[in-house]
Formats: sequence, C-alpha cells, structure tokens
Amino acid sequence: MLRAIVRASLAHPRIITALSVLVAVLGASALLNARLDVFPDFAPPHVLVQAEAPGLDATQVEALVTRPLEGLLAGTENVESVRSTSSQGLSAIQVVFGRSGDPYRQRQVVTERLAEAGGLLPAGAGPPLLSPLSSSMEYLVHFGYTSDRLSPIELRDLVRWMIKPQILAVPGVAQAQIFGGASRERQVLVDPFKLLSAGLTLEDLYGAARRGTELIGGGYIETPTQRIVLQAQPAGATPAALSQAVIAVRNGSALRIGDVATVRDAAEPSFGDAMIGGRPGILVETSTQYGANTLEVTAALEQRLNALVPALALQGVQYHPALLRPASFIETAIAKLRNSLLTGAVLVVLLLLLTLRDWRAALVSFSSIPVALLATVWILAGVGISLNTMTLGGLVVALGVVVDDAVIDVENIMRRRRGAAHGVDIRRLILSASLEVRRPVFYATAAVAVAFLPILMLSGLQGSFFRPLSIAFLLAVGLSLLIAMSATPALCAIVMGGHVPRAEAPWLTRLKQRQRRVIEWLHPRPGWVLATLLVTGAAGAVLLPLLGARLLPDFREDYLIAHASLRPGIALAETARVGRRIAERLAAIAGVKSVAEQIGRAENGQDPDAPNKSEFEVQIDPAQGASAAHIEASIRAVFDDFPNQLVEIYSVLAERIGETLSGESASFFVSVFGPDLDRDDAVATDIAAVLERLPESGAVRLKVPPRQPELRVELRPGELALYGLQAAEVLQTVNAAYHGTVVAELSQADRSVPIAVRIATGDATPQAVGELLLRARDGALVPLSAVASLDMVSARSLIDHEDGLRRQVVVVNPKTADQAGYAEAARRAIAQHVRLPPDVYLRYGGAAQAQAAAAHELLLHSAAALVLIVLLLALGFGYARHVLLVLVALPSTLIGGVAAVALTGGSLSLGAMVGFVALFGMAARNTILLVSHYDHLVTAERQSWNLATALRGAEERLTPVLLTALLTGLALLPVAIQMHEPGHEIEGPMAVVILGGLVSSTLVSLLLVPPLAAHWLRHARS
Amino acid sequence: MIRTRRLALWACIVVLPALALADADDDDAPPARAPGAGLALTSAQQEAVGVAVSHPVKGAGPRQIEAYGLVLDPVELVTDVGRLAGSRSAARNAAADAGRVEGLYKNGANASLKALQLAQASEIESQATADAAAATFFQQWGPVAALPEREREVLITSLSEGRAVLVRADVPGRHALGAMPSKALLSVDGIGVAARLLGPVARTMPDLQSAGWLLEVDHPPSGLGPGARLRVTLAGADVAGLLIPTAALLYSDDGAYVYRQKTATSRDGKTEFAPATVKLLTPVGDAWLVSGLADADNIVVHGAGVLWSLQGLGSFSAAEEEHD
Repeated sequence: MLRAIVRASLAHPRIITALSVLVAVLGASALLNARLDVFPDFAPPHVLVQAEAPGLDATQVEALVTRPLEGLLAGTENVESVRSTSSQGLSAIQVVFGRSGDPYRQRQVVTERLAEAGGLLPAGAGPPLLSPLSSSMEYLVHFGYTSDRLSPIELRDLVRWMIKPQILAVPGVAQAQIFGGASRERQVLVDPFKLLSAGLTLEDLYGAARRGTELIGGGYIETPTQRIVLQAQPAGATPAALSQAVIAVRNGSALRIGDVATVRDAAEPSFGDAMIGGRPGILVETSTQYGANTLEVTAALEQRLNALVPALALQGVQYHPALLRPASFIETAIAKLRNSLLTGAVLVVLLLLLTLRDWRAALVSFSSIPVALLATVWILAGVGISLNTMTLGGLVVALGVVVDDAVIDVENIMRRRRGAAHGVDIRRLILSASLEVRRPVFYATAAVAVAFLPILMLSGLQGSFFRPLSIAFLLAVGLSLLIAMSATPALCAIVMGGHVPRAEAPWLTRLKQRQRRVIEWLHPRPGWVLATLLVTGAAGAVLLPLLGARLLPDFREDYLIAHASLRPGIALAETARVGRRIAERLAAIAGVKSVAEQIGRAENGQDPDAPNKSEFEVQIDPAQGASAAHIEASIRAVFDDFPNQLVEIYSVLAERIGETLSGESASFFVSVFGPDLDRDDAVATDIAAVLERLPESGAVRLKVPPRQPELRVELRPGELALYGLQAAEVLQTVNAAYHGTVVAELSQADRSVPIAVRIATGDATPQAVGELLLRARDGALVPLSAVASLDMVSARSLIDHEDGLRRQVVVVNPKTADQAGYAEAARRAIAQHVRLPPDVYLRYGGAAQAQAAAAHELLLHSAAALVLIVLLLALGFGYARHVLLVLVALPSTLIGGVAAVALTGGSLSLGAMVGFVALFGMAARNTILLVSHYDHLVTAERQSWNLATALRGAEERLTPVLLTALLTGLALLPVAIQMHEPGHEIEGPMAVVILGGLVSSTLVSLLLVPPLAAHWLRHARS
Repeated sequence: MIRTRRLALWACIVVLPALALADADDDDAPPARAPGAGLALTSAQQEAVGVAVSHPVKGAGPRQIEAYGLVLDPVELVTDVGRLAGSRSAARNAAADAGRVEGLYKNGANASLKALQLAQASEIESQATADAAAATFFQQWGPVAALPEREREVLITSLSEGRAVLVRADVPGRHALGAMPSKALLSVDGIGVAARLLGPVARTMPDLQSAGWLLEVDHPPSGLGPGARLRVTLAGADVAGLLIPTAALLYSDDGAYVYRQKTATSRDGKTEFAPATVKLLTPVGDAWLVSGLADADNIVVHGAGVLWSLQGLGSFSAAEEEHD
C-alpha cells in the first residue's frame, strides 16, 4: 500500500501538490477561525442544585432540605458523585456525572428528579434551582460599577434591570452573578405597638399587602365601532399608595397599612457584598456557556459593555472593566506561542538552507511541515476540538516527528541524486529513495503512535486534559506520514526534476569523519558501550522520580485569586470593613492594576459562600514589570498583617482545575467521613496537627469551619399552651421580625419588586429578641421570652456531604513542587500518628492524588504499550536481536531529558511526562531507522555485515538524524527559552525535555548503537 | 528540601546514580509551633486591621423599661370615686339606721325584731357594697386611692376639666414590677412628654398579660384623649457602671464579653488581648453601661470582630504560616 501511495503521488505530482496547497489553505482558514480556549473542557458534566431555605440554620437545612434532595438525586444514572453543603439558609448540591454522558440529557434527568421535591421541602423553602450549564473554566469576564451619585439600591437596580439583560443577550453568556449594592425591597415595617393597638394580626397585614399590589386584568369594553381595553393598574405601585391599602374597617373607619406600618423601599437582607478598588460597588461575574468560544464571547460582551459606558457616565456610574478576564491569558499565550513557533520556523528554514545548501530541497522539506500541521488544525476544527494549550502542545510535541518526516525523504533523495548517473529517471529515483525509508518510517511512526496510546487512554481529569493533546499529536504524525508519502515525493518530482544538488556541506563531512573515529574506537569495547547504555538508562529511570512530580505547572496569568476566610458568624459589614483595608493595601503593591473583592454569595450564585468568606481578584499589570511570583509574595505579606484571615492564593486556572478535580481548590486534602460530626472534627484536627508538623505543609485548615454563635430559640410547649399560642405562629413572627416575610411581588414594566413585611425591632442585640411580642389567639400579647428559652450556643455554620455522608476535610497547599512526594509523606505520617474510630474513614484527594492516580494509570498502560511496541518491532524487523538492540538503546536517551529538566529547575509535570513519551518515540525512531538501514544495506545493497557496513550505515544516517535533531531543536528552542512566559507552561517543559533528550538520543543512535550493532546484529544474508 | 534534592540529583548524575536515592525524611522535621496560639497582634497588624483600644468611661444611667400606655377615661375614675363615696355613705347610713332601729328595739319602742333584722341586713349589704367598691377602686385606681384626700380631689378635678390625663403603662409579660421607676416619658407622635408616676396598678390587663403603673400627665397635648395608646419609657433608678460602645461587645454562650488588652506584651513583642466577660446593665444611646471591668482597662473599642475571628480560627492562622 505504501508503494501504491508513493507511485500514485509521483504519477500525478501537480494534482497532489495542488491538493496539498488546498489543504494548507483550508487549514489556515480553520486556524484563523478556530475556537480558541485556555484548556479543553476538562470538567466532568455537572449540575449545581441550590435551594434557599430562609431562616433555617445549617443543621436544619441539612435535615430538612439537603437530605431529601440528596435522596431524590441518589441513584440517578451515570452519577459519579454528589457533594453538598448545607449552610445558613442555603442548600447547595453538586451532582457530578461521568464524562461519557451528554450534559444536556443529564441535566434533564436531574430536572425530572427534582420535580418531585415540592412536597418534601419545608414551608418557606424555595424550589430547588439548577445553575446554567457552563464551561469548565466557568469564568468569562468579571467587571464592576461604582458610583458617587447613585445609592447602593439605585446602582444595583441599574445593573440588575438595565445591564444584566444586555449581558445575558450576548450569545455564549450563561450567567451573570451580581455581588454588592443593595437589592431593592418594598418593606412594610410593622410597628408592633400600633398593630396591637389596632387589634390586628400579621396575617391581616400580609393579606392587605398582597391585595394592595395585586394586578387583575380589566377586560375591555366594546362600542359599536371600537374595542377598548381596560388597563388596570395595581393600586399600591408606590410606597405612598401601598400605605393607603386598607387592612380592615372598624366602626366605619378604614384601617390602612400606613396606620400600623411604615412603607418604604429599602435593602433586602444581604448575603454578599462587593468592593471595587476598596470602594463599595457592584461586581458582575459572568460565565460562559458550555462549548462557547471564550475569546469570541469575551469580545462580544466587552463590545456590548463598552457601548453602555457613555450613558452610564452621564448617570455618574464608573465602569471597571476586566477585573478578571481569562481571555487575556488566552490572547497572551496564543500570541507568545505563535511568536515562538514563527521564530522557530525562521530558524528551521535557515538551518535547512545551511545544511542542505539547496533552496529546492529546503523548500520541499520545509513546506511539508506547515502542511501537516495546518491539515491537523483543519481536522481538529472539523471535529469540534478547540485550539488550546493542550492541542497546541500536541502539535509542538509532534514537531520532532513531522520535521523528521520532512527531512528524511528529501535527504535520502538528495543523497541518491548526488550519487546517481547523469540522465537517471528522476521519478524512479525518487520512488526508490522514498520507498527505501518508507517501511521503517512507517513502523517507527507506528511505534511512536503506540507510545502515545497510554496518554490517549488516561481517564478522569488527566484524560480530559491530555486526550486532545494525544489526538492532535497522533493526527499530526499520521498526516505527516501521509504527506511524506505523497506531497513530498510529488513536490520533489516537480522542483527537483533536472536539478543536481550540490555536494554535502563540508562540516557534515567532517562530522562523519569524527563519528567514524569514535565508532572505530568503541567497536573493540562493546562491554563499555553496553555498560554505558545500561548505566545511563538505569540512571535516567532512577533519577526521573527524583525530579518531583506535579500535575500542572504554575500558569503565568495576569490575575491572582486570594480566597480569604474570617470566622463564620462574622458580620457582613465587618468582612467588608476588613476587606476594604486589605484592598487598599493590595492596590498599593507595585504591579497591581486592580483589586476587586466579592464577599459571601450572590443570589443563586455558583458558590454557596457565607458572609465570612471573600475572594480578592487581583489584576497584575505586566507592563509594570513585577513578576506574578513577586506580587504573590507581596500579597501574602499584606495578608500577614491580617492574621484573622485564612488565605489561599491561586492563579485562576489552578483554582478552576482544583475545584473541578474534587470541589477543592487546594492541591492536597484528606476527607474524613463519619456519621458523628464532632468525632469527624476530632479526627480532622488530629490529622491537621500531624500535617502541620510536615515541613512542606503550607496553609493547613479544616474546610468545615469552626462553630458560629447562634441564639437558640427553643419553644416551651407548656407555656405556649398557657397563652394559646401555636408553635408555627411564633416561628412565623420571629421570621417576620428577623428576616421578613415576602408576601407579594410587585411587577412593573421591566422589573419586579418583592413586598416584604417586617416587624420593626428596637435594637439588634440578643437581649432584644426575647422582648419580641407575640399575639396569642385571645389577643393577649406575650413576649417571646415567656414562651421560649433563648440561649446562646455554638452551632455549626456549615455541613459538608459527599455521596450523602457527612465529612470534614483537611485542606493543605503544600509549599513544595513535588506534590506527589508530599502526598505520600502525608499519607505515611497520618497512618503512623492518627488512630481512627471504627466508623470513621479517610479519603485522600487533590491534585497530588490525581497525579499519583494518573502516574499509576500511565505506568499500567505504558507497560501494555511497550509490549505492543515490541510486537510491532518484531513484525517490522523479524529479528529478536534487532528488537533487543532498540530496547537496550532506548532508556539511555532519557538521561538527556532528565538532565535538561534538572538544569532548568523544573519538575515532572504531566507536560514534561508527555515530553518524555515523545522523546521515547523519537529516539525509537532514530534507532529503528538506523537498524532498518543496516537491513537495507545487507539485503538490498548486498553488503556483508561487518564494521565497515555498520560505519557506512551510521555515516549515511548522520545527516538525517542530525538534521532532524537540529531542526526540531531550533523549532523548539524559542519555546524552551520562553518556558517561563505565559502560554509556554505546558509546552515549555515538553520542549526542554525533548531538547535535552535529542542530545542524548542523537549521541546514542549515532555513536553507541553502531559499534554494538556491528557485534550484535545478525542478518539472514550475512 | 527541593534544593537538597537538586544537589543530590546532580551529585547522582555526575558521580554515582545509586547514591541519589537518599530521601530526606519528613519525620526529622522540627516540630511546628504549638496550636492555639494566643490573641496577639503586632502594632503593624493592629494598624492594618484597625484595632483601637480605649478606657471605658465611668457612667451612670437609669435602667429603662419600654411599656405600652393607654390613656384612661376620667369618667371611669369619677364614676368609681362616686361609686366608692356613695357606697361608703350608704354603708354609713345603713349602719346608723341599724343602730337606731336596734336602740328602739332594745328600748321596746316602736321597733319590731323584724325591722331590726332588716336594718342589720341592709347595713351588712351596704358595707359589702362599700367594701367591693373600695376593692375595685384600689385594684383599678390604687395609686389614686393612695393619694391624700385633698390631692385626689385636685387630681379628679384636673382630670374632669381636661387639664390632666391618667395613663396606664403596661409592661407585657411582666407579672412582677420590681422597683418603682423614677421617671416616665410618653411618646406622643414622636414627641416626648414627661409624666408623673403615681404608683403600680394592682390589676393585670388581660389582653397584655401585664402589670402596670399609673401615670399622670399634666397639661397633656391637645387631642390626647381616653383610649389612645402610647409608647412609654419608664426609667428606673440610676445604676453606675462603665460605658463601652456597642461595637466593642460580643456575645457567646457565656454571655456578653469584650476584648481587654493585657498589660504585658508577649515574648515576641506582640500586644496580647483576652476576652473579658461583662454584665450588661443598660443601654445608653450607642453604648452600654456594663459592670465587670475596671476603668483602667484598655478595651478594644474598634475592630473587636478581628480578634473574635482570630480567636475562632485558632491554630491554623495565616499569620503563622511561612510562605515561600
């Protein structure tokens, strides 16, 4: 088949060339219109279900809301885990599905299950709501508004009713969460004394407020000529009008709402806030829809927002753009990577010209590289895979093979052309030269592809990340092979028809002479050679794990996120006060462009954070020259002056990946499962103490925070009976006093305003709660303290579940890059020092755990791949000795990669691991091609197998091997040099490993394998 | 640790790979600081988080009780006074008549035993009526009944002429009144009007389930008439204590407390703070009068939430972390 393809290409060289150009154009077009993203969609499909339960504390929410909902969701098909958090007034459940499922269908299944929730939830609890389906990165753009002229309520109204609809109208925007400002609420503030005086109850007032704002359609009148619609308007459309609504009529006089209550527009109870640059404002957090193009959606949204700026400025509203903008990283990363690759391409062209000394050969070699890569992009775009850090990484890794494919054919054709007689049939020469290398190249490429199968088969988050990389790599390698068999010979036939190439460059000739001397010196010492190969191979294998492993590198983004927690139970205003002081200090750090803070949670927001939690989004200005690491250190220094805060600082990507892995941002955590929360806490505290003693532990904290003070209102049935009070009535009154009861929704033209009835309370102290007056059935007034015990207690602020089991989590952010090593040390220490009660068990998680799982999986699949490669080599060579020689030579090539990583101070991230796999493939390719060439010399050219043949084979392979190494090295050099630049976080370590490995693999295949082969190989003919 | 590994790595690459296997053991690490470090802040931290301390101020103020007032109808008082006087007069007359009939009967004058018995029955009935009227009056108008005759007459005249009103101030849920308040202030459409405390009323008001005091308001605002309900603030005797701002107070299951600055600093030069339980006496504007502190104490008056948060976060404080 290989022969048929090459023959067909040579038969129609112009058609093949035209087709190649067409593919390149299509690829270029696909590249320009490609969906660009930071990462592939790495998060498993999941939905977030939230149910508001106003007035309930965490334990009540757990028992009354979370448990019933978890029960409904249990057993849903394809569910991998259900994680929930019960906090004051909110149950948040995250249902994570298997990656194989269709997210839309799974969402539908959850919706159907939740339809049965109605009768299970307590009165007052809201219906369970599903968050919109968003992409893995979730964040789109965070921006803010502040105003010196508008009140917090007016500013929020403006954003909520005027700007938010415009945001959601942008295609690709899934959600816009609003933090800060104050939500408008029409409050009917009841004076309990006046209510008593009038002999009215709260129920009377609820009814009056409801009826006063109700809109009932008017119908129409029809004259003989016209139909005139009666447009009825609700009477209580304004606070003044609502205060005129009648509650009851006494002795012929109407008692109105205004007689017993004050009606006003005020802020509804708040669970969150926002600061923009230390000033109170509105922070809007948008998220992308599942599958949307982050760059396009960002651009469209920003265009829409920018158009609003002049009108907002007239109202005294300042717009604060891009407080957090992941698209910036994509833009920077893509631009820098593009520049690196372009620089590499220029260097490749120069080297081709310098080495081949022939512009035609250089043209043929070089043109096949972009054609292969553009064809890959075209297919990737066609099947809906975005261009992201990982797919680009796949292309970078494939570069070595693609370059080799581009060089090997042309070099062989040129070598043969130089030695051919004048007037030789050029097409026949090209055919034979091409076919000579095609079969070994095919097997070598197949071996490389098999080496990548373990990466392709990775599961979980690692699989989501690296599968696109593997697909891109395999596609590029496959297409490169196809192009080498078709377009390269065809183009050679067109441009090199009557052309006789110049002699080989003198420096190559000199190198060959030196190579010959080294091989001749080594030939009598096969034991030394073998020992060198074995020792370096073993050293590489042993030293590799010492590099320290971590899942993903630090991403050099322009944004840092600091998660800060105060003690649960802290007042929202205090969090805001402290936050303002922190923001002022952060903004003063050189290199910080903006600081925004979100406190608590938004209504139906994705994060069910309590008011004690805040998130600082710090934008770094790269133009100011301060590095992210330096700024991060400065941020930490600022937080050191705020010891009441627990703080964890992440880059945006690291935060999102951590959350996706396990629901935790931290890179290592231990979940403690057990039915008794106090016992879970005790075990978790022991574990935390053990982990704190490990020198590489950074911040250690318990996820479920310490208890918060609560005022427990325990009704006394005897006293209730004495006064003829029902428990529900008492609780309703308490709710009306300290939360407010929403009794109606006033719908206006473009907005709606909740009508809430509240009891005016004197002062907000625990003492005052007992003085709350209740109205008994017979009209008697009773203070709450007369029918209930009021005690300050310490209660849980948050209860965490995973798969329906209560859990406490010990969270650690290790200070070391060797996360896998830390995880192992932590595991050992915990096993040694912590004694577990019988019904408590532990589960380890985080990036380190995922890294270990991935390494384990990779090892298993690699073993299978190795067997497959051996079988493939056996099939290709047909000699056990050939296969053994390749296998003996391969491990020693690792040492160059290991040395390169160590020299550059890197660690073994999965990106570097992929580099090693690629290196393994490229080294195998070199050795396979050399050994195959020996076969060719013996079988096709009828040479005897001896040192001279081994020397000749090695010499003839020097140019392509060296050229491939140099070209690949030059192409990757800019990527490796800029490995600390944005966009090079994944590709940089890959390039470093490959560069280092190229040195060792080139030396091994050109100097160490030939003398050993001369001794070892046996050929049928010889 | 990382650096050590790198050195080891290079040593291995250059010298002998087998020697590279030495792994630093985490168990040899120095022990971390003890958990549960005290509440201590450096001056920079205090400045950053906005912690401010101050001495509490000596002060005194009345205990205040919020009460619900009802303007009483003077007609009822006049009626009850009339009924009391009438019944007493009737009782006196009945007693005199019974005495006269008894004298006649004893002297064999024109009085039968039946007439004597009728007169004695009438006397007992009148006395009972007078006693009931008196009891009712004392229950309802006890403080008025307790007034000297002359004063009561003046009061009734004032009430009748509209120059004064009587207000019953009730404290819902209270069945025992305790010490007599010293002052009373009525809120009439938001305007404070002083009232004179006449004394406690014996009868509980069923719809409020409360005990109350009777107040007299001289020269009441025009329009304030019987049946009107008012908010009343009753002020008890002054109590002495220390004034602290409301923002300094925190609440726990042990009651209210504040953070007090310790006099000595910690070994590392930090200022230490400790919670101090206080007894809340009475609110005074935006402050509370408390006991349990000394006026020389330095109390955290601003930023107490910071210390509370620090105390709760315990041993895993970010301040103690060593960052890269």
